[in-house]
Formats: sequence, structure tokens, C-alpha cells
Amino acid sequence: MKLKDRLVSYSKKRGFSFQTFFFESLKTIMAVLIAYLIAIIIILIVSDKPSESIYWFVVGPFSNMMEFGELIKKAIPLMFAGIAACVIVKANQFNLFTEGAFYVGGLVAALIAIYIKLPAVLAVIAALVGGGLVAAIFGYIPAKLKSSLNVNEFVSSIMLNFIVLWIGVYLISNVVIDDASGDTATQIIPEVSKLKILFSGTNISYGLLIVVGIVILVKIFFSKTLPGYEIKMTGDNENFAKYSGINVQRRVVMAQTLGIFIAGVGGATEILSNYHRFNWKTLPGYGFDGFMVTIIAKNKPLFVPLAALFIGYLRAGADLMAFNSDVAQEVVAIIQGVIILLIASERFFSSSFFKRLLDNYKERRDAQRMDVMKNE
Amino acid sequence: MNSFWDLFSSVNFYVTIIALATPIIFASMAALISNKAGIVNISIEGTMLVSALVGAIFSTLFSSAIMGILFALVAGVLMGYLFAFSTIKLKTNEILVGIAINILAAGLVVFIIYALTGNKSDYSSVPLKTISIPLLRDIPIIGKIFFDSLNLLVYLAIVVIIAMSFFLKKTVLGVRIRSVGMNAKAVDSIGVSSEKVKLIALLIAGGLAGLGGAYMSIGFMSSFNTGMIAGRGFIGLAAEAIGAGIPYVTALFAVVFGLVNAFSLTAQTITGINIPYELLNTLPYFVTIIGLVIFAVIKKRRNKNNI
Repeated sequence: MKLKDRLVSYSKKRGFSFQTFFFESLKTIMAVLIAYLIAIIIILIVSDKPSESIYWFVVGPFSNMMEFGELIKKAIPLMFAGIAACVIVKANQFNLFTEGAFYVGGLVAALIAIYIKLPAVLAVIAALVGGGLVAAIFGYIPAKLKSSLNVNEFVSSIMLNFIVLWIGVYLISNVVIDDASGDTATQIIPEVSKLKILFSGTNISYGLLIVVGIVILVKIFFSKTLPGYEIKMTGDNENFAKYSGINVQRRVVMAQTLGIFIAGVGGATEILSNYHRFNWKTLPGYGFDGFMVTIIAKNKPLFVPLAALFIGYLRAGADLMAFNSDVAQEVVAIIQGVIILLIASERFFSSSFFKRLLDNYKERRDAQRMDVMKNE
Repeated sequence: MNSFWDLFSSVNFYVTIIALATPIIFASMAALISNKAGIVNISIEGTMLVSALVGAIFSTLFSSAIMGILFALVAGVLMGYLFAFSTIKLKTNEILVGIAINILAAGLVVFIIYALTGNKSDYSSVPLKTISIPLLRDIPIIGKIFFDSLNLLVYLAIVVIIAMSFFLKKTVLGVRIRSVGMNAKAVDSIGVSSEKVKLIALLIAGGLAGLGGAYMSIGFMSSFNTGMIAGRGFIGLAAEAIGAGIPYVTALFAVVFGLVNAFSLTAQTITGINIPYELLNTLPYFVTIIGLVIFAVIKKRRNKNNI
């Protein structure tokens, strides 16, 4: 059998089963409900006006167009981080440089926008791609170290995060600092390079279109192209992939670099959409968030935006609650932690558990029917 | 300070090295025992963070640093149990559990501080007193470094290294932990529950991470703040990888890290050289990556020679 035929039959084996899909969804909903229950209990304990807190937390993000826009604005970087993590996890890698990539991408995009004068659309594209590329160059380091020397990419990428953070802080407080800003920040990013508002009356920028485009491209990459298949196979079973003639090491590096590139573009989008100057002095935290999003999305590209919207909803609600009542928005972290723990676990409401339940039910039903028939 | 010579000849510098190596020792020993049981435990970072806060809170509640340490230890063990329960009972991927616990910890500490004090970053603690041992402190140089200005947790860290080495080699449980890491089914086949052994290893790891957290907020500083762990849990993982699972070698790297970290903190005080502190801050992380690479190259060579 030719390699391609083998890949096609392999992908058919991974085929879509409605039953499994249904049970997986049920599991996700259960996890969310349990996490919400825990959060509401906590709010009842710490809040002096719990009904108001819970109202803002649950209903707040849908109270008007502006707040709904805020939800989507919060979800956009999470979509970027989520789809970046999705690509990396497909190859069964855990390169956490998505975190540093957001920082590098944002910084480089701001610098390109400020120091390279280009006409309108080109200026935006140059900043986005430039940010992504520089991030990808950094992200290549832990990926290559993993593939050629078997250095744990998780630890090395986290160390690299701290390194790029401090280099970035050094740059914005010494080299590219604008003293007029009264802050450690770059100069003002010119209007031509900025991503404009997509829907008036909200804060949603064109970044939404970019990330949706990337999600679709990633989906096509994994389901219609050979490198995409090979990455998936490598992630599923590295030895099997190796014996099928796939250059496993190249695919491992490719998945990580590609994911980091997307995260870099995400950082660039975030800065060009929502900031006047680049002024990050800490890591933005999207790296871990991305892995969380892709866990909730069961590592399926098309579900990543949904999972990101959900986390965006949680955070927008929590912000409103913190602003309008007396509970800190960090209560979200508890919800997120519980949801991931439950969704990622194999035993919690696993689909086999539901299937057993269903089989038992069918058996009993059939037995009853037999009884009825016998009696007749 | 005028020169590097002044820096390297000052007693304070060496005390700082030991002070900065201590949390890495705790973290790396936690990583080591988890790894011996065959588990990659990345939740150490989050565990340290939560324990650091719990330690600070209970030290002020009882106005006693020792009580703070005890409660931090308990918090660490509980976090270890959460990790163990998820990985062993719910069969969750250990990296994903680690990510979940780290996210949970980062938010939880802010939430707790805000609920207690109304601010979002700091919580002051009752710090541990330094121990000055009479007679021993009068030994020239060594006395000043080792017996004059260190606290209980530093000595405990040294005890932990020795105890860990002994525990893994000479006790039944230690050998079982190592066997589980090598082949869990073989352990099950002789009638010892590998799950139970893993659970114990993870609880010990949680406790050690808890002590590391307590050291940061009670021993090293006199307050907790949300950024104080700064990747030390992950550096512990790196130290364990570089140390190839041998407690003494792992501890040695922790000391190297302490040295680099101490240098990056104090080098700015040397007149004449002008390295910005931001770039000095990258040094410990650089050294960690370089250490990982050197270890990997050595390992690869050794494997080649064996074949």
C-alpha cells in the first residue's frame, strides 16, 4: 500500500461517531455545570450581595451590545492561543512558548508599525507576519532541541518565556522607550498599522476575521494535506508513524514552529487592536490559556473558537462582577481549573461509561419485550 | 562594591547563594520523587505558590513561623493529593492536570488574598528567625556562611537531600517507588498496589513543594506576593532532569542555579560594569537551558557508546 492510501484508511479509522460525539458533549456540559455550581457556592460564601454578584457574573456579558462585544474581544486572543496550542498538541508536544510568542509577536509588531513606514494594508500585514516570524524563530529553539537532543520542550520553553520577557522589558525601558509616554512603553503605534473596529458600537476588531481564517486554514491543513496528516499520526503514535516512513522529527519541529507562529500573530493582533503603545512588563498569560482552550475543545480546531468564546464569557462576566460587586474576578480560575480537570479526565463520565449505561438500558428493554411477548 | 573580587570574597554572596538554592532544592526533590514513580509532575510550581500563601496566612494567624510552615506542608500534601487523584483515579493526562493545577493556583491565590485583605498582590508573613549556632559560627569563613545567618528551612533542605538519597536506595517504600517508575505492572504482579505507591510518592512531592513554597514566603522573605515563585517549580524540574535522577547531582545544580541567581541580583552593585538588571535577570533561565542541553548531549553520547 502506498503511504497516502495508508494515511487515508488510517483517517477513516479515526472516523466520526455520532454517539461518541454526543457523549463527549454531555461530559463537557456536566463539567461546566459542576464548575459553575462550585463557583456559585464560593460566591455565596464570600459575597455580601450574592444575588447581584451572580447576576453580573452569569447574565452581565449579554446585558448589552457593548458588553457582548467585550466578551468577543476577550475571546479573540484566546482563539489565537487555543488554535496555536491545538496545532502543537496534535503532535503530542507541550511547547509553552506560545506564552512568550504573544509577548514577542506584540513587541515586534509594534516596532515594525512604528519604525517601518509602509502604505495602509501592507503596514498591517508586515507587522502581523513580522511578529509571527520572529516568535517562530524563538519557538524553533525548544522544538529543535526536543527533536535532535530530546531536551524536554516543556521546561526549556518556559525558561525561554522568561528570557524573552526580560529582553523585551529591557528594550522597552532602555532602547525603544518613548520618554513622552511617562511610562516604560514604546512610541505610539501609528493609525495606519492598527486593526480597525469591525462592528461599530463594540470593541471587536478585524482580528476576529484573521483568527477565524486561521482556524479554517488549520482545519484544512489537518484534514486535507499530507503534512497535516503526518503531524496527527506522529502525535497519535510516534513509533507507528516512524515505521510508516514519516520523518517524525521534522513533523514535531514543524508543528511546534507553526503553532508558535500563530501565537506570535495573535500577540501582534492583540497589540494592533487594543493598545496605543506596547507596554507589557509581564507575560500576558495566554500560553497556558491556549492549552486550556484546546483541552476544552477536545483538540478539534473547529471547536477552538467555541471554547475560547466560553472562556471569554466567563472572564467578561467575572470582570463585570468584580466591577459591580465585591467578588474578585479570579474566581474564574477556580472554574477553569475544575473544568479542565474534569474534561481531561478519562474516567469522569467517559463515553464508555455512558455506553455501558445505554447497553444496560437496551438489555433491560429487550428483556422486558421478551417477557411481554412470552405472556402474549 | 568595587570589583568581582569583592563580590566573590564577601560572605554575604555565599549566604545569598544558599538562600536562593534552597527553594530549588525543595522543588527539584519533589520533581525527583515524582519522576522516580514515573510521573512528570509540573504542578510543583502551582503547589509552591499556594503553599507560600497558606504559609504566610497561618504564620500571621498564629504569629508563629513554624505553624505557617506546618500548614504550608499540609497545603502542599493536599495539592499533591489533588494531582494524584486526577492522574491515578480519574486517569487524566499528567501534563494536563499540571496545567489545570497551575492555572487554578495562580487565580486561587489572588482570589484568597483579595477576599482576606482587599488587595490583590501581597500578604505579609511572620518570617522565620535565622539560627546562629555558638562555637560553630566562630570557625573562620565557613562558620559565617553556614552557621550564622541561615534559617531552619535551609538546614531542612540539606537534610531532605540526604534523606531522599537514603530513602530511595535503602527503604522498602523507596525501592517500590523506583520499581513503579520502571515497570508498574511488575510491581502489581507481586501484590503491591502500584497506584498506592504512586499516591505516596506524589503526596511526598506535594509536601516537599509545600516546604519550598513556605520557604519563599516565610524563610526567604517576610511576605507573600503573587509573582514570587517565578518559575522556580519549573527550574526544579530542569534541575532534576540535569541531575539525571540522582539527589546529590540534582542538588548540585540547584546550588549552581543559586549562584547564577545570586550573581544576577548582586552584579549590579559592582561599580564599573554596566549590565542592565533586566538582562541580568535572564541569566538563571539561560543557564538552565544550557544545563539541559549539556545534559542531553552527554546522555546522547553515552547512549551511542553503549550501542
